[in-house]
Amino acid sequence: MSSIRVDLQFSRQGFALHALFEIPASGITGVLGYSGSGKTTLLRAIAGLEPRAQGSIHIGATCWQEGSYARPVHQRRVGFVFQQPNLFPHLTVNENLCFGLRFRGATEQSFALDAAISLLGLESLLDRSPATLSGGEQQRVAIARALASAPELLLFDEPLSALDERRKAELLPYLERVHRELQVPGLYVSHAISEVTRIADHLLLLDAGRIVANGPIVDVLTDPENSTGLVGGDQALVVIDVRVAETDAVVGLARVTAPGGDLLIKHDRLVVGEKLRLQIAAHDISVALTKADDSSIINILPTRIDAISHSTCGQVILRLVMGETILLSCISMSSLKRLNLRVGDSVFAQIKAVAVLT
Amino acid sequence: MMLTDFNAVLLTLKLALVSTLVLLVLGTPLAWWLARSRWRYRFLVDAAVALPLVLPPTVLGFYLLLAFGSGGLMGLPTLAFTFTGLVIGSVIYSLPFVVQPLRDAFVAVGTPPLEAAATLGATPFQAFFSVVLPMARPGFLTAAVLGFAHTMGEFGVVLMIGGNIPGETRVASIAIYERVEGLDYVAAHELAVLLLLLSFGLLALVYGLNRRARVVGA
Amino acid sequence: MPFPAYNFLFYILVLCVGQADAAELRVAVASNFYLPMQQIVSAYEQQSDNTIKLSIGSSGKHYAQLQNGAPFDMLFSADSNTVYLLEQQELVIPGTRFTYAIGRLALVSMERENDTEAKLGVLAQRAGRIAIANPMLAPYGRAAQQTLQQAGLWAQLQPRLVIGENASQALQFVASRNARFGFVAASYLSMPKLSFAFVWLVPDWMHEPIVQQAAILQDTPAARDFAQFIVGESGAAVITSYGYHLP
Repeated sequence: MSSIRVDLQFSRQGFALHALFEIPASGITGVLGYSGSGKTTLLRAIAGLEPRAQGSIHIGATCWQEGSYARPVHQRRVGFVFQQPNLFPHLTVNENLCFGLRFRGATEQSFALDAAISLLGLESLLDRSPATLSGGEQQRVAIARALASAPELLLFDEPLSALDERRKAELLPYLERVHRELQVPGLYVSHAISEVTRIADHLLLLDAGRIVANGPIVDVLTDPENSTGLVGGDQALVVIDVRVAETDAVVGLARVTAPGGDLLIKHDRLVVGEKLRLQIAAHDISVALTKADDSSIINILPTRIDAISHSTCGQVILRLVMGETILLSCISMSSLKRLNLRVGDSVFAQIKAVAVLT
Repeated sequence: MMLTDFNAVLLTLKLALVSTLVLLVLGTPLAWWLARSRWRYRFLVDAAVALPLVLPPTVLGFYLLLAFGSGGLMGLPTLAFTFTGLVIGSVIYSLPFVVQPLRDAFVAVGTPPLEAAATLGATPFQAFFSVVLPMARPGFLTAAVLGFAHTMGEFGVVLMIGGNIPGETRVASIAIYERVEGLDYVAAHELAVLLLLLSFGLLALVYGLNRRARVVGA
Repeated sequence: MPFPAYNFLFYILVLCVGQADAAELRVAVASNFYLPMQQIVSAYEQQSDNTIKLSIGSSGKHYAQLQNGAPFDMLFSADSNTVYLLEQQELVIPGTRFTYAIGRLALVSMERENDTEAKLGVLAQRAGRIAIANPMLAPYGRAAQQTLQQAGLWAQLQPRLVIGENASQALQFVASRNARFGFVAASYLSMPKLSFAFVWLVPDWMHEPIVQQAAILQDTPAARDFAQFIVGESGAAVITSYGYHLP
């Protein structure tokens, strides 16, 4: 399988970025980092919008930058979604979407255009002027516009950060659709884990201009090394991709199978066979040495402690393994000592809350 | 009204039109550079462009007269007393009135639309014509109107280098002046009123068009 | 003229009373007479307490300004027509219109002529623009036109003419080398920093006399005094030294 290889350096007064990583050329790779960590700069540099960035960029077999050679922006088949929609005010929505068609040859494009319109649900907005659209609608058009140009690489620069909560919630399903139905690889930059967990398969952690973690999303989230950073501490969580095995409308529960065990989740219009992604925060998993039959918690699963790492403020994170599924549990230091937990111990994971992402 | 006076008005319109076109063609790349350049000495160019705003027209005319005349030393025919000479004078005289609105319009377009266009495959050239120009349209209208109107009213420069040649350099402002000097106030009034009405009509037309354009593109 | 006797009495009284306090005279003067006027003024101020403020311009401009209340005390025009018209409109003190100089016309160029005997004919022999003042407005332009017509060259040379607003601008066109030839007031030949490579004084018979007249607009002792000075010996000396004829 081909990959995307990036080795970029960029420096400005008071800030230096040196990003070196290789990620698969398929699926969405999330790029997480605090403000000022260089995420936007990295993305822009990959797109070619930062002329001062030096190094190399290879997308599969195509070289976008190497040494003194840098392919100009308009020749990189990149679909960039900015923080602000950046729609052309003098063109209608449809004309905005068709903008790229003029410059890149029409044939494969028209297919991408139709796909983009239906994926983002823009059929009724095509003749509108951008000024008459809401922020969320504008951003949808912006995403569709990037898709319609049939890019080789999608770049999302915190596309939801300019929206309020309601619009964000409106837009996320569309992003998920894009992720599910398109083959184009993409980089999704954000400072919010909750956005990234919904759509990323792969995760990069960026801290002070350096890549500090790189791997499949589950691995990065559960890596003990990351327990105190961006995805550690209070943010620690896991994602699990599951399939619906059976549903019980009467009780209102559904059973889903993960690689390693089953879970029961709330049944909300679920269909048997449907694929879901679950997100469970480390705070929502507690451990017990014995299985309680008299607890209100529905999901109590047998696991084994794989690693113990320090978290913030007198807490630790336990990496729990259940077959191929990894869970994280955040407990206090005192509980750790009291229960005398060690690596290798078998404990029961008590899952208090499960979020269904899709 | 005498035919020569009417021709003077036509000549004024011709001069204004030609000068404005030349200014739009020359001024657009200059305004673009001024809007985008980060050269630390760009302010000097800004000041040079603004210079005709504060320069008395007679000073400009005087230096043009000397410049044109010194060509004569080298055997070149002088540009004074020619329509071309007037166009050169008008272009310098009205430069800031065209370049400044254009520059401001380009600055208002900003960088994000250009970056978006580039990521969608437009070369800088294509981006300029398909994104910048349409977005800067009100600025172009303002620049064209100001340049045109300013040249219509030009007097000091033409007085210095024109030579008052009918059909070539005898523009309306000179003709009015001549009528006043010759104590023919009636003719002066006629000419002045005609010029005033034409100028006003033209300005009203262009601003009216711009008004609708602004609503559409907002 | 109503009450001429009263005017006369007034003048006598003023003369009897003698020189009043030192006054400031505002004088409008035609551009071609500016240089000689400056010299006259400095000579005058040396022997009088009065001061003179000069305002230079074309006669047409002065006329328009005076019609609209410009506060000049005296006008020295380049022609006689302007003063006449002002007199008709009672803007001039009656009886104070007088001729102060007869102008002379000169043909000049910044380029040399090898033939020292060269005269008007050079215009036909050489190419290049010929600058004249506007014949419709300026007496020196009129005189230039008459000269060319007299020599039978007017029709032939008309396409090569460039019209200056006044004699002074015709001079500018020549001095800046934009026009090869120019008809200018002879007084310009005395300008300090300018020298022409070719000069030919136009004989008086080739054009109507350029009668330059002046008048008093505000009747004051100072104005009367200055007028006297101009037509007196010292004034005359300066005028002739600048190439004008005396009336």
